[in-house]
Amino acid sequence: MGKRSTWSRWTAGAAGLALGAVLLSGCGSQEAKAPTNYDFYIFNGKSENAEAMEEVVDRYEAETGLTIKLFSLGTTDVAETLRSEMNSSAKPALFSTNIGGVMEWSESGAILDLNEASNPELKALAAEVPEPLRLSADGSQNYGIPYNIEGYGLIVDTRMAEQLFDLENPEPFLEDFKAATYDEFENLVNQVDAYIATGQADQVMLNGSPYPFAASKTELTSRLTGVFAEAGAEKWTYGDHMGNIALNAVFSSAVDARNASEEQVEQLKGPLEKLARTLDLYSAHAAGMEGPLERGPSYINSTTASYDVSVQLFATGKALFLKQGNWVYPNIEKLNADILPTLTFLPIKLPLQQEDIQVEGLTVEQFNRSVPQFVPSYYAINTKVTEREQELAQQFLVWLNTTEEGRRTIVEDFQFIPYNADDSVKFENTLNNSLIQYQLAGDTLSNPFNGSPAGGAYWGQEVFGSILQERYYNREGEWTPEDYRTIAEQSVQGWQDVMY
Amino acid sequence: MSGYYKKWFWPLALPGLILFAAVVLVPFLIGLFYSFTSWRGTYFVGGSAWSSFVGLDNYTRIFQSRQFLHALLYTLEFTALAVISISAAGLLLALLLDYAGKRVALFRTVFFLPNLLGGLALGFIWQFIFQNVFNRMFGEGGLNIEFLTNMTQDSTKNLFALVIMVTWQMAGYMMIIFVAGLNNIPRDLYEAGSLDGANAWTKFRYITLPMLMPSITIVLFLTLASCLKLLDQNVALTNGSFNTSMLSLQILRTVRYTQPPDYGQAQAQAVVFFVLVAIIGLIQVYITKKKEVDA
Repeated sequence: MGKRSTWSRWTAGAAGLALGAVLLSGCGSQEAKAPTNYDFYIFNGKSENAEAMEEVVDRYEAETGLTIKLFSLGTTDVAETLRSEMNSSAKPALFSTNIGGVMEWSESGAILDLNEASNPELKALAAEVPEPLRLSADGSQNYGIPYNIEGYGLIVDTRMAEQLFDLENPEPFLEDFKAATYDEFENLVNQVDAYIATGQADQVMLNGSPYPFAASKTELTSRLTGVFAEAGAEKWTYGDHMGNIALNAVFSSAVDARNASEEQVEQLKGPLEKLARTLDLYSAHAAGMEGPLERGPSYINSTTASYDVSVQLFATGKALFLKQGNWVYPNIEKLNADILPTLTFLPIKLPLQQEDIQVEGLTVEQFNRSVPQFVPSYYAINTKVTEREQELAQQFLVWLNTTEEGRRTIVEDFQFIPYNADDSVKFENTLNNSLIQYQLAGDTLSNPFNGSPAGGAYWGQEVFGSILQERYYNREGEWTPEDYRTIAEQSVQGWQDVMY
Repeated sequence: MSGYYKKWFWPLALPGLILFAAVVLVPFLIGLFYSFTSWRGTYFVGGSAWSSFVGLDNYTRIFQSRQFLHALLYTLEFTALAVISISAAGLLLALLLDYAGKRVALFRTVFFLPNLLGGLALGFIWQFIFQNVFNRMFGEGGLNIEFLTNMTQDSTKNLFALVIMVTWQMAGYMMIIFVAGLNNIPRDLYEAGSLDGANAWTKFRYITLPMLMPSITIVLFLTLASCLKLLDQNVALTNGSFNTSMLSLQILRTVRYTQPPDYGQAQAQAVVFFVLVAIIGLIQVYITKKKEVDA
């Protein structure tokens, strides 16, 4: 019996200890303490500019005599790592977050509203961030300075278009494509498909102008096996990014989608139904390694229909279009650098009617000539560090975004499109340049998918993406208008299920 | 000897106990506490732990969550199938090796090898096997067994795919335990059985099985616990697609599928999960212990 009582004494002791720890962690006041071995800490949640950021910070340190702790990380687990850093005793003063993380930091009070920034220059800088690009919880705050702009659309190699349609100059074709209606686009897809199969097809009309096909295939165009390079195994490519196109008909921004009313979610049915029809068109004309890739089990197979495979299909000329963003540029570079100079973005079109569009002032024509552009990450200031750290972090942000050297860094070292780019900003990266052109022309859509339940991680992939992948892409056969309606209704239902 | 233990018990046990308390017991109790609050990972909603106390809310929401209930059912189905499959395969391999004797000792190592692979690596390897090798072997033009094609693209088929994979991985380990158990059965019991006219099946049923009960207790306990808690293989093979999330993955995903991340809810799921594993494990040990006999 002696053994047992020792044991129970031990459990009691341990329980007491644990309870003590609970009380400490729960109620311990966390007064910010000045760090001893650095002046302030930058948590950079983007891996693309990790190396360049290090050099920039080195230069800034040399210039100011400060010591900066820098930590860069850019994986899907960045949120967990940031959380543990924000919980630690050495908290970052400057951290990166986005529309997905902002609720968390605004609810905990860790993120500084830049409308109240102590540094007047930063306050002014933040005030200049265009309204649709601002980071906020409900639209009234201004929590961050954008890292950069990213965007996506149908990437096309203009040489491929030239040789398909025997063009001397691709510009008029590209312009007509942008202005074309969905029906014209649909016809183009069908005719290109026929041309791939037989070498002959009817001329297509784009924006009213005729484009006859080249009489015979060239070395380049004979490589084509399909119209679209699709990645059926990766739900984000259609769940998030194609889903986002439809969401743009109802929501003008991610913040707008986050604060969606039940009525607005209901209004998504129309655009989603039209999107399903578009996805049917895409997936029925997908390129494969040897010939067209049919819907069915291999369409979603992760060894044959991955993101990498889709990029490879496009880079090797087997597909005319790749629906991707400017982030794909380095991947294409590795596979076939020859096509880089002739890449450009074309808009993704939906067969919308004006009554499908709820966003004020947005017409079907405007919608179908625009590409989505958005800010993937923002710099934010942590209010839970000392005043001095906050001030230093603010000064760094001002330096990075307002001085000539800082701004050059963003474009040349980070290779980022600045959120406030003007036409003087030029990249070697043709996709970046293309996005800037859309931005300057005002032909942009937004990123409401980031405001859908759990910022796309849930709705885009687990609801909309899963429905497509697990019930439609994986089976052979035609889709019916009934299918389009089912996809739309169930996706809306999935959103409504988690509204609270 | 007992004097030695008396004198040195605390100095020797203390480091382990402190470590256990620090990394298991204390976090467990803190977690238990969090499960009654709206903990968000870095803060409590409302500012302090006490103001974010939500009582049993997190627990009631668990049982309203279709995803959790589905994951629970899926985990139980998988565990039932996998435990039977692994133990049977392990026992079969052990009997084979026992029968063949020392000449095939090499196979003991070979059968054990898959156990050395990590769950994630294993999952990706088998994903390739299921999607490419199986599809060719059992697809049209091959053996034409529809059930064994595209196994990762269906909730039911995936259950069996996971069982096949986990059996391949763990059967070798269980085999080692069974081999040790078989070696401990006195040979004269079989001799006596033979003299009484027992055939191979009778000897297996009335000598081998009862004498092997201690090994069976261990094997069942190990397989039950590891199958209920399976995570890596689940992530690598399907990552929850086609409704194949098991409980561990479901808990992990809860914080990703909620914004701000609902750690309180995930923690409550983890507590329910712990209770479930503990109850099933204890019942199993209690039942199989009762069946153990002394040689």
